Amino acid sequence: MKMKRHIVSCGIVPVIMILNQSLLVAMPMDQAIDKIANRLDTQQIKNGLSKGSWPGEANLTGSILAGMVGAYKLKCNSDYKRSAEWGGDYIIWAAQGNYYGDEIYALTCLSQISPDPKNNPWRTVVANFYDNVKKSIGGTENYVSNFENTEPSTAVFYLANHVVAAYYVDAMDKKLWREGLINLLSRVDDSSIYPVMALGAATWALAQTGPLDKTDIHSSGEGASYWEFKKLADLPNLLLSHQVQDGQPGAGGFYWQFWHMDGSPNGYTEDAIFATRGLVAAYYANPDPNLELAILKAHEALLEGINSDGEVWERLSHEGSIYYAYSGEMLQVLNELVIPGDLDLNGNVNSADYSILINNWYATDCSKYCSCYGADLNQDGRVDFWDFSIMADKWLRRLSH
Amino acid sequence: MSKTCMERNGRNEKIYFRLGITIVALVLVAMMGFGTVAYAASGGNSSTQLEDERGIFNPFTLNVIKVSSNGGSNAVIASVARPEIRIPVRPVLRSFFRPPLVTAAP
Repeated sequence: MKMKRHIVSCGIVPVIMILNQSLLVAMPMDQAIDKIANRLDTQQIKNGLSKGSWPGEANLTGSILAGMVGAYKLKCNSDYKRSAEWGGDYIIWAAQGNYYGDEIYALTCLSQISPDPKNNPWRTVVANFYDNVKKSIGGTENYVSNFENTEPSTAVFYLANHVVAAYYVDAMDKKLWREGLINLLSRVDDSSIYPVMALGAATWALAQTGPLDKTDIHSSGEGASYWEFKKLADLPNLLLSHQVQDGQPGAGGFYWQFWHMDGSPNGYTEDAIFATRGLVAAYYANPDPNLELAILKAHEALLEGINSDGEVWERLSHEGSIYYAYSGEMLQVLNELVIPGDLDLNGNVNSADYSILINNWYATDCSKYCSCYGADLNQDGRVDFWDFSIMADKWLRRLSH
Repeated sequence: MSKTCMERNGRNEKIYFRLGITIVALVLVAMMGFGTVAYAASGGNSSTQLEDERGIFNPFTLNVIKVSSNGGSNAVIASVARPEIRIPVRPVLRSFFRPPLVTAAP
């Protein structure tokens, strides 16, 4: 009898685990953003020296607050903006002038939602930082080369954020940052701890800050063999090659290593987030139907990785640890996944979005974020035919396949 | 329940009891063995270095255990290496890195 019960219980556990994987239901994007952002807002430390950071994750504040900015851009909830600004204050206090890459990138996000994105305190801090690095002993070249002293995929993550931030403020040495990123990327291989995540982060940064052209990634000759004969133009296809295909467990997500044969679980949330961000940036740089299809699949897989409480796990299958940083990074990618013109965030551009546009027709004071319900699509301060043409171009586009 | 069945159950319980004791003893012996090696590896200190540079418990820092013949001198007579693992252990969270920013004197 006992044996029978044991057999039954042993049998039930894997069945429940399998069902858990197959029954993951993607939450609608609109709800997912609020669930995650509300949880982050609630859990943020609201007083004391650590005010603005998140419990146990002070050094990850940059990644989290950048996500809160993304949530604010999409939902126009002032609580999200306030939360992000507290995070920014904390970073400036804690970093003492020397920032982690994701911290300095987060400050550029705060600059974007400021009343004047071209002149605000956040932007000044970012510009001063890159200026100080240039003036430091050894200059930017020395500072960037110091990233070689850490694990390559971790270095690529931080450098990718630096590159985007340096280009945002048009730093004098921005090209040195970009070259440093390419050099570090060439050192990433399967002995690194986040190979695919690093590939995604690098593609995200490089596609936004210059052409993905015939530049040789392995030009130094000191890189890993994986990069031999690889060009920047190959990056999007390399990312595509690491996406888990339909019919495989975790389809739409990404393998975490280049060789796909490690036998360990795939579907890490951070890999999916950064690989998707890389694909989106590459798509905007050079629209390609293959990229679009991959992005749609990744989008579904990402939404399945969020539970009903707005928690984001280490793996999209709701396994592993839960960290606020994963939530922040998830909000960042969701913000980048919204189709231009999808003003109500329902996943497609249709008559509901058109009516929002019409209701704000010829509104002229749209320079502030959220002042015209997002209808100022080209962000020129007014809602007019240019915005209509953007919406028309995306008409009936859906985030499903 | 018949007497025969009860007797059989009694025998089974004894067998399981002995089996359990044997397993516990084996585990204890294995743990003591590991403790001895770890103690020697620490050069005679009672605590082993199982923490990474951030002070977080990480058993994978114990890559190579060197066993000293005289409990702490520099004479290393044997090296017990963990088999090389090609796949890196993927941390739950990235480590934190920013280079030092050394400003030039004005």
